[in-house]
Amino acid sequence: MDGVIELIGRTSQWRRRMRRDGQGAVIAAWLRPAAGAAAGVVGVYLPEERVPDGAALPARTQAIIRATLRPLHVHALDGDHRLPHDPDGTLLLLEALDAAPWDRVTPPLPWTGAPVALTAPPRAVGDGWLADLSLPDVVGYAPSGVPAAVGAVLVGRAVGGVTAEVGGRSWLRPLVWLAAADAAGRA
Amino acid sequence: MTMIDWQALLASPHPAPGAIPAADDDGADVGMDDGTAGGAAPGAADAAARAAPPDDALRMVMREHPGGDRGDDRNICVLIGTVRRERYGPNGKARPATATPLGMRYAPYRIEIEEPGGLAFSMPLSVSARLMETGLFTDGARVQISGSVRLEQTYDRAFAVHPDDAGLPTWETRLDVLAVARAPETAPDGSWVKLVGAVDGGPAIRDEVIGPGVRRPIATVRIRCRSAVRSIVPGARATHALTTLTPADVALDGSVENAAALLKHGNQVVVEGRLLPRVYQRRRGDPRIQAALAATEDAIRAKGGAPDEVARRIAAARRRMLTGVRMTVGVGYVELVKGRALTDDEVARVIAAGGGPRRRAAPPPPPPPPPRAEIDAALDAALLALPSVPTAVAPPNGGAPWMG
Repeated sequence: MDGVIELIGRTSQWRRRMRRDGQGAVIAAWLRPAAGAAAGVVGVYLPEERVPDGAALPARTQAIIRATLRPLHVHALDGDHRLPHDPDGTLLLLEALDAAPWDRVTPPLPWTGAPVALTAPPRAVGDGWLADLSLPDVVGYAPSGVPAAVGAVLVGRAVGGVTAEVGGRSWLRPLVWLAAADAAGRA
Repeated sequence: MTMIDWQALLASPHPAPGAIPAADDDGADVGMDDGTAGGAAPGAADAAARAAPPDDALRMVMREHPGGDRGDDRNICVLIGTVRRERYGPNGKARPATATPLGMRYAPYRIEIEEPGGLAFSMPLSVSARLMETGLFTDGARVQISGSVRLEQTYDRAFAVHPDDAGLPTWETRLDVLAVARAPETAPDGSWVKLVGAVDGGPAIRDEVIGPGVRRPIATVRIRCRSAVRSIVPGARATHALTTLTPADVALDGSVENAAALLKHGNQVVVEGRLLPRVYQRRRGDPRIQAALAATEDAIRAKGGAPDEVARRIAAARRRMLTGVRMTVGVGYVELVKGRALTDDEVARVIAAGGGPRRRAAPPPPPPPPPRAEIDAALDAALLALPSVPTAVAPPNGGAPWMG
């Protein structure tokens, strides 16, 4: 996906996780965004070969992350949020271009967004609606507005995810947030 | 006597103190601890021991040893070999006697055994100050030792990374020397062990390579022996349990009858065998081992030298440090007293699985995932409960500032 997303948030510890496709490992962390085009919890990763020293990444601190939307399936570790349909795996939404401690001054740049297509009929949740997207295992969420039709191409305005503790594990629903105007098809 | 017939020795009637044979040529060289034996006065027992041939000297000690007078001691080991004083530790410094936290001092000795079959090894001994007084523990003395074997946790100083570091915690099979006598000239070096106890935990299975492409399965088990130590006062009713754990290796190729009885946790067994050294590889992933390897490598590099020579010395040091030796009991006889021996099919399954469960249970499997609908409902609720939405999708007039 094109377009760089800048996020500010608190990172977890960076740990090595193996890719589900068997193509090696990545260094990944969970980010809780405080600002930028994201909300909830987002999995962020870097290819292992780009991080010769994973300890240099800002862990357990406020960091500014520049990343692109490129979902990746990895094997989950203890403490990871897991996918409901794949309890042994999880999904990391963003591939980080760089990660650095945040200076608490610089604001994140706005994200231009990414086009996504609805692949299943939406269902209502509160005042908004949810629908499966062309991105595998990622759900589109519009907090308000009229549900779009299957096949409609919308613009994702933000990324994120929600988690819930059920049965002693934390489950993850990766999200792309759809603006209300887009959801109504008037954008 | 050329071989030790220990069972016959224990089964034979004990001679009365007054019936101990008069001193003969061997008797003058026999020495043992000066504890009271068979109710005799210390001086009388000492004199009797000096006068007795080796068989009687050992038998007297067995009477003193817990349960020895009943001839059914549960952890017996007899060794014939050459005693060596450990003068230097791994750091090259003189090795003093070991002081226990309770104030007793034990001299660091090893016994070297060269069996007629070609097996040669040495093992550490714990020799109390009382036994030291026998005068038999001198460098090069060939002795006949009786005692008991057990696992003891100690520290391997070779893995100490600084002067205050005790080293790597490790378990070592030790022989507690209870009695010693000069070995008969004609008796060959060797060992004999008898353990009466329960199988503790499941077996660990490994393959022993006996030729090109030919292996035989070996099971390593632990035998837990529990003896009752009686009070020093005759007629006292208090007893105290003395529990030891001893590793034992048994071949599963059919060469040892009833070997399957050792593969089930809790079986009560009688085991006879001999002491054998077992070579094993230490875990490279252990942080303490990694730290010691790094420190050793640094020390070798600091000494300098040609790069090839340094690399060779480092490789040799790594190989030496990662290879450990532990004494174990090579089982040659098994008798099932209580319990059930595994069937041939069960033995085959144990071998195929690489062993049964050890005493430490495996972590429980993760619970099955809850119903998908329950997870989806919880995620829907979590979505609606999010404290804020991203600025890009927030309502225009009610939007939060860019910093959430």
